[in-house]
Amino acid sequence: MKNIITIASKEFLDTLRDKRTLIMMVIIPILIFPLIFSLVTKLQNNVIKKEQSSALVTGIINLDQDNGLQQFLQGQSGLTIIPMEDRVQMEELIRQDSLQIGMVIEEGFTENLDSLRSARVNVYYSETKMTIRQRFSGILSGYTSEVLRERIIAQGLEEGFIEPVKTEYINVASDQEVIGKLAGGFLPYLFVIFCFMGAMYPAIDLFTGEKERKTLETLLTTPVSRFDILVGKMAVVISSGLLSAVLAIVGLFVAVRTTGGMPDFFAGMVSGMLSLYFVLVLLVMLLPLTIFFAGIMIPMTIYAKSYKEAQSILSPMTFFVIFPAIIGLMPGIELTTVTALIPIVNISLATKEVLAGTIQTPLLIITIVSLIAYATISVLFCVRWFGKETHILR
Amino acid sequence: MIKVEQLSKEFTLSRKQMTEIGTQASSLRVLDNISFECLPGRIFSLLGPNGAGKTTTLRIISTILSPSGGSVKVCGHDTAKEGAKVRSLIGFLTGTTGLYERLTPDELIAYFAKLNGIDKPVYERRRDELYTLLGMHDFAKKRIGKLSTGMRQKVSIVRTMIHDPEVVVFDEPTAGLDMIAAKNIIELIRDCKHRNKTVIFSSHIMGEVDLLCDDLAIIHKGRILFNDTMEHFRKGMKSENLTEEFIRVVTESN
Repeated sequence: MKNIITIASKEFLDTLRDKRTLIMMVIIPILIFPLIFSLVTKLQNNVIKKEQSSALVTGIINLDQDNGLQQFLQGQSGLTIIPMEDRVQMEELIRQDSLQIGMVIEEGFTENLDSLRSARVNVYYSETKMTIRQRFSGILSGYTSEVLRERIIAQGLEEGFIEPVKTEYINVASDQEVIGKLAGGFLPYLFVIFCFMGAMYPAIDLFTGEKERKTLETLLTTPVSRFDILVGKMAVVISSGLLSAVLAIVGLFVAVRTTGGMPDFFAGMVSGMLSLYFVLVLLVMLLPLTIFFAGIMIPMTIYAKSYKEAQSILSPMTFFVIFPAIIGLMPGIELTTVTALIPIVNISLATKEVLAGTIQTPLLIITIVSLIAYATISVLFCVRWFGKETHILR
Repeated sequence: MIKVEQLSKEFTLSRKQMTEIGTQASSLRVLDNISFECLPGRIFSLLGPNGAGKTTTLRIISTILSPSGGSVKVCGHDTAKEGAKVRSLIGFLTGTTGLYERLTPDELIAYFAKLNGIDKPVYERRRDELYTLLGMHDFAKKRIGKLSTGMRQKVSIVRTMIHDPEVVVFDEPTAGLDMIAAKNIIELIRDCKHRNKTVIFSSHIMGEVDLLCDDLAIIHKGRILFNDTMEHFRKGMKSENLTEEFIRVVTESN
């Protein structure tokens, strides 16, 4: 045990002094969310603010078809109306952003309205502008409602005439359940990716790097057993993976707390993670998963002759980690006896259920036991692999 | 003392390796029943061309590799059965030995002292003695990555000797070193002899062997071609100089 601690302490110190590993293990996980969130939110808010504060320059063809509509539009603030005649020219001006909206009022618009029929307008806009359609649709809805109200009064009808069945949908699921089921898969996806990435670089540095720098031979001539060397190094790889995931979560919390304008459901979901129960359950699942990752990565890094070769072997593995993690994001896939046995998929689905508060204890136990089983198998394989001289001195 | 008896080593070849070497055989015999003995207070040299089996032999002595046949005993301990004990008696140094560049010499020496199970007061005393001997105090707290080749070689020497090993194994210790760094190693080898340690070193440079060794084994294609004292080698020479004699012995065996 003393030797394992000595090796792990030295490797941890060595790892923390490696800029490349430090960036992947600490800097990126802790900074990525605050940076992304603040940048995206700021950018999005700026765009929305700019679009909402600017006047909606609207070109209208056949404006004289209906005085009521014309008067209504002229009464709206933030709307600049330009009478036009050529539709093709109007479309071109929208593309050039000289106009935000174009509207063609059909011939006989007033007659149709007066005869209680539907009158038609075609609205031209560019989908590239985020809020234009929404803003103009709101204005037109106001006019439609006004005409409808006048028609009901003129016909002497009640409001119920146009809405014979008034339906109210009542949600019985708690906010926590909704958030967990809909968005909960996103979080385990992050943990899994950061766990993997955080463990990958120390694994390459501590095994392939040691071979490449020709220091492994010296280490193998000390009285310490190969098992102790492996366990000491493995402990650092596992800690790095876990540290990376934990730092990513810390970064996420900081981002949510400090960034304004975050969607409510997302802020709620992250706040939901603050419970001690959730954090404990998550760590109980993440620990064997990280051991499982280390047990798979280390034999590959032992086999590789150079840092470059190790990277080219391990990088494609990222897809095998991302794919099952994405399954957890997909709606309709639930934690069952079968999915609880599939590594990565199980932690992804189980975390979702825990966050939603709908986890079934037997399924949680199956998930944890299967993760421990996979971790054990991978560690045994790793020990066997490290014991083979042809692999170490390849 | 090192006693090597009927030692053989075979490596299993992968398909790729079989193609690279151009052989149909699934294994490669790199050591073929070799025997020799290294005594305390004497310097034993394993001389041979590249690929002769020198490094494999030294790796088996150091327990990095296990033998396919025969046995190796270090101070009476079998390398295959008492690996940890053997390693505690050995100091291992090569010319291409790497060091942990992100550590300082102090940190590196402390690390290897701990792995060798030496108590702190003992290792600190030995470390200070070696630092003084090699003039290392000035750079003991600098990162190894910032040190010159000569300074690094001194760190390697302290790392090898910190646990005061009974047996010191040098695998081509001066390969790739400049003359000043090589001189440090040669002095170390001589010092080990004076301190009655068992010294084995491999080389393919006859001049270096002539300068240092008491006993000599010439190895080629995994077989021992000559195994006697340096004095007897000189006496039995059929060529004009030692290098030509070494080449003659190797060529005649082909």
